[in-house]
Amino acid sequence: MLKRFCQTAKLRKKGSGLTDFFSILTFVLVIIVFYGIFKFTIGGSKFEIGQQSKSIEDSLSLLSILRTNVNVGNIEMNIAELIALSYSDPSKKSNLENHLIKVMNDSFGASDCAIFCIGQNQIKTTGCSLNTGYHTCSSDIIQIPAYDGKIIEVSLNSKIEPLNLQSAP
Amino acid sequence: MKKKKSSLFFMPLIVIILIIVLVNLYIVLLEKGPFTKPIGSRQFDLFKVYLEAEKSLLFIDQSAKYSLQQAIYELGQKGGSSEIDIDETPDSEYELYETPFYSRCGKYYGYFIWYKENGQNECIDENRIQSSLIYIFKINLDKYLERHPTNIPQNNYNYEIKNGIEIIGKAKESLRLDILKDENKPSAKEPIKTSEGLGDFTGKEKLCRKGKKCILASEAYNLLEKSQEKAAEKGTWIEVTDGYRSKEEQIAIWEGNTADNFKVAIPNESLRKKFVCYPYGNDVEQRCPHLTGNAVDVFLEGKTKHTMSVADFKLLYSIMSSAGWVRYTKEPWHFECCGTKRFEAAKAKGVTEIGEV
Repeated sequence: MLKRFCQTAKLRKKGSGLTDFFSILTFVLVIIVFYGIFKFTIGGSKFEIGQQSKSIEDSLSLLSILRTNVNVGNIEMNIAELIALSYSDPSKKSNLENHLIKVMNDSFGASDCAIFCIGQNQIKTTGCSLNTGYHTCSSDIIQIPAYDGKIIEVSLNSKIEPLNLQSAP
Repeated sequence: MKKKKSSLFFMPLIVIILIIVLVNLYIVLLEKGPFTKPIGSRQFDLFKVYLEAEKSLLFIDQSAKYSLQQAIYELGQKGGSSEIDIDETPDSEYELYETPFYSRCGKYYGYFIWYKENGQNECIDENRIQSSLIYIFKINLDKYLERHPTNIPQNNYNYEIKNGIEIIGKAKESLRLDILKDENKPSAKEPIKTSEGLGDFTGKEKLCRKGKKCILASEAYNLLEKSQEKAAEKGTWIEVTDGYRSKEEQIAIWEGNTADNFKVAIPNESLRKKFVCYPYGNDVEQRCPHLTGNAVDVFLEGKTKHTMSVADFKLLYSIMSSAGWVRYTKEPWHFECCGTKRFEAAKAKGVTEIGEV
């Protein structure tokens, strides 16, 4: 009788351990299977908050720059108008560059690098140097009208970090 | 430690509960659709829409500046311009645009004389200079706005002139920008229902001219889609530039509260009634078909009344009439349907074109 009881207890103990083992295994498998199902059917997407906020900041800065008033030959006009003027009169380009660099240096600081793009032409702040490398224009563009009704596309790429040349192999 | 018999079922039970919870969660989440929008992206979308509005406002501001400069230049060159000239009313309705305004002193080498040598203003009405300036300004501004990639409403401002040549434009309608873009939005094929029960298809590509407000009654809209199919068969497409107008909008046109300023251009009311629908009285909806939502002003792809040739108007007429519209003789771009006074009169006569009734 005692022997039989001991055998049953041993079996029960063994059975309990097996049940726990298989339960945990199933638990883990269920988690893995559902992780796969959720990932591939419901999905998700990469979203970089840093990149998004930089794009918004750049657009806001660009809008402010375009609305900034400058004095060109005793005529008060904003940068957007000066861009339109230099678009129709290329002799005003140097005037535009000077004013734009000054406005950008005031906005971002003379030591920071920012690139202002008008179409494919880039105008850089004095903070940009060789070690800031080559940067493309931002994809977030603002359209402004030229005098002849054509559209001029402008964009801004600010806070460009210098390249870390020391860590390069 | 001695285990109870029920403890044997504890772990399997946990696993079963987990499966049930996960399956339910999966079903619920599947109903909500795939997670293409991560947390925070909606907030960024709002910021972006705000920026889009700011960008459009900058474009409008700049366009307005250049338009005014151009308008002053053109006004000086032409010596005035208005939509309708009462003193030199053209014989043909096709010529009803940009006819020069009247000068009592006549012209000199094709230019209107504004002042005589004595400096006294005997030649022109000062009010008409202002209305001409606003009219040319509006035309120029609309040309700029038309070029913008988004749908900035045209002819959307009430103007007043202050301090000589400072034009203040107050928008009649706000810019409309989609925050949700394509999601949770009615199908682009279907017009949005307005509070009056009409269909608003503003911004619908190749049917509503960019920058124009396009609202029609549902029956008229269906007929318009039929016309578009007919146009496609002929290798072209039609664009609506005007549809339903509210009574307030018609009153604004009549009272000169639009850039065309018909009140100044045609002070004589009985003469003005020939060109602008009189918006008062109980029978206003019968007399002013645009108020019913069953009248449209349409043109062929990208063309205006200035650029439509006689052949273009013929083609437009054949497209619209084959779809069931009736043309108003005096305005070859204006068509009516679905029970308007002119439409019924034309049907009774068995014609597809009709004049005043």
